[in-house]
Amino acid sequence: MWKKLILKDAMGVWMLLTGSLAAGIILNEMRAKPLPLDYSSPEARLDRAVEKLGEGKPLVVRGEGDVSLEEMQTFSAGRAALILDARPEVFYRVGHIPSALSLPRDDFENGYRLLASVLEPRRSDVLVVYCSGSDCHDSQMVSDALRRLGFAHVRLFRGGWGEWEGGNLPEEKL
Amino acid sequence: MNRRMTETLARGFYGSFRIVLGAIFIYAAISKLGAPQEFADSIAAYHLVPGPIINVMALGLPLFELACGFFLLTGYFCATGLLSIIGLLVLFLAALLVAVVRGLPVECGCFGAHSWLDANPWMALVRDGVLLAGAVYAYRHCLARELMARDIKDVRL
Repeated sequence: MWKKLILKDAMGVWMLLTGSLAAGIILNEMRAKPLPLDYSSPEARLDRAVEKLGEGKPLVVRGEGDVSLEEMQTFSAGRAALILDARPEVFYRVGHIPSALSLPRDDFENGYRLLASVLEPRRSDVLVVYCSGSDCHDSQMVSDALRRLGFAHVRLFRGGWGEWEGGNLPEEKL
Repeated sequence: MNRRMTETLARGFYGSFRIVLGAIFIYAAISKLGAPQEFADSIAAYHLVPGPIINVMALGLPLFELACGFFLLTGYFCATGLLSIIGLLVLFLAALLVAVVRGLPVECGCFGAHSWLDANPWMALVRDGVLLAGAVYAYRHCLARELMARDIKDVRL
């Protein structure tokens, strides 16, 4: 009797699972920006975005040194560099380094297009990119993408938001 | 402790755990529904699922969790919901354990990407283990109730 009941429930689980997967695919098609059914890694997606955005732009391979917390404070206070936040936008909204702009790695193409009028004229200026902290790769990926788009002086603040917040420094919210 | 008291306690635990587990799964589902790409990245980070089905899983699993949570909260198809959750938790535990053993820098991804609830994989393992133990107990209770209800029906007939 137990076995029969478990088998009946297992059939229910199977039906629920296949129904959910089918519903997921159907609902996805109704999204404004549907997720492609073939998976691509974040690196591949960023590559595609850079290829789309960067046709005919000069390639800058050279990297520049990392930015320390002290330098970052100077950049932020004096607006001496363009600071870019590579974290997902929701985190930027909750809190970010003063004067930083949002250029999320996970939505790079749209983010870049939105900032194009600010970014394009500042190709030879210093750009500093940060993400959550030393464990995240978003800042590295975004800075590589910016170099490929022709930005000459892209630097990393590896300590990221974690180090900034840990130093009890001023922050901005949206 | 007499038998009636034990039964009352078991019923109380079953009722409250069912609601808590249902709420947890509904919360987990909602946190992933709006960001399928991030959830797909979390699944891919485990290196266990073949590429062509990662996005399908990312689209369907949150709905599956939502349905399970709804079943548990309302009490309809509760046994199916509990068995589904047992299956999911076994899957999550196995994947997390493999990732931890292989030293992969993964977040659980159980409550969407970058959730503070998933920051520590060991905590996620303990949490999923506790939930699994509770779900197995609740499912056994559910089956026993169903068997008892059938027995009573048979006697009445």
